[in-house]
Amino acid sequence: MDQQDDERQWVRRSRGGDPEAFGVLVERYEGMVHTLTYRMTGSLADAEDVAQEVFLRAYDRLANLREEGKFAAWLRQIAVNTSLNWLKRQKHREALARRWAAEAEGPRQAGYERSEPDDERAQRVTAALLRLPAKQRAAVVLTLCEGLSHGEAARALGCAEATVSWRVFAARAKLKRWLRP
Amino acid sequence: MNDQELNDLLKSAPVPRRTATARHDFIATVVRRLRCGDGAVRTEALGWVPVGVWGWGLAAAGVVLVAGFAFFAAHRPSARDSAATEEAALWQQLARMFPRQLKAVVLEGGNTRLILSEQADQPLAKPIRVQLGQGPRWCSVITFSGQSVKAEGVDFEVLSDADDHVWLIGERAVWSSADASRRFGELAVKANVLEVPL
Repeated sequence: MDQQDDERQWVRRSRGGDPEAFGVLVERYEGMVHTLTYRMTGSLADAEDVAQEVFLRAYDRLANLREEGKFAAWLRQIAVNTSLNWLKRQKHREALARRWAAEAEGPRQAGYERSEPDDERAQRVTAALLRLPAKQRAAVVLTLCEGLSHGEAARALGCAEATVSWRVFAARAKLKRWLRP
Repeated sequence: MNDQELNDLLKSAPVPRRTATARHDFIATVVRRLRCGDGAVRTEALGWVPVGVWGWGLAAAGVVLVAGFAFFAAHRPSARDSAATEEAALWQQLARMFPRQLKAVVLEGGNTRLILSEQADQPLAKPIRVQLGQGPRWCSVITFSGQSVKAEGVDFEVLSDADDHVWLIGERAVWSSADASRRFGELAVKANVLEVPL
């Protein structure tokens, strides 16, 4: 049985109301979801909360998953939209940036390892991403960080491909300025 | 920095690694919450809005109603070409009331809607005036590049590029003043930088 068939089976069992089967899918994709929610929120604690919300929502909405073999893409779409909704509630990006700076300077949160020697570079990238408007950040995280095509990102974000292209274009210009060595 | 260098930097910047214990605890927590049918708890957690936000919103709405009424009573527009001057005056008046806090003013259906930042962090730049409409119904938005606004039922971002072209980026459509005859979805658009003293 290949991995996709195996995944279909876990999805089917989860749809049948089996939380333990869904736990297997959580184990498989928690890394992907955490990476995305961290890049969107810039906060370890918030990324953890949003990631939990993503999986709980996904479980609730499994009936809407049309193609069982495309669970990862569908989950990524829930992750990016949950993050965007979270950012909408966190209206003030400056408050977010301050919280991120406090976390970056303070002791590392329990459950996380220090990722030296790349910390300084990672911090600059995180700080720059946080300065972008939420929708531009989502477009950049999906395309430039996660490697999705503009079309795939547009499907995940529920918008036109041209919209993603322009958001990436606008964000690129700012990021180049902010991340100039 | 070129595009490729930026791509490489973004892709290679690591996110903090989580310990095996943290990953295990995370999975266990999700499964436990699913077993408990935790729907109500998370809806409440997400739906919470700080009381201060409501207070701020109500206060701003009150000020806008008074300012808007006073402005329109004193300056009832007689022709479209005078509207820009009057809107510039409104912007200046509100910008004085909320220094560096004014994010956008939306004039729609006879109402004036004000969007403010809680902190004095807005740019010292000339604002952009965007007019959107269909038939006789038009609305105006005055804002800065980079702001997200909702007008005529459409959410969009306003951007200006290095050539001073204005861009509207919506979920379903994109418009540029470089090709101003094109529509933004269903809407016709006019956009220009508003001449106000800084």
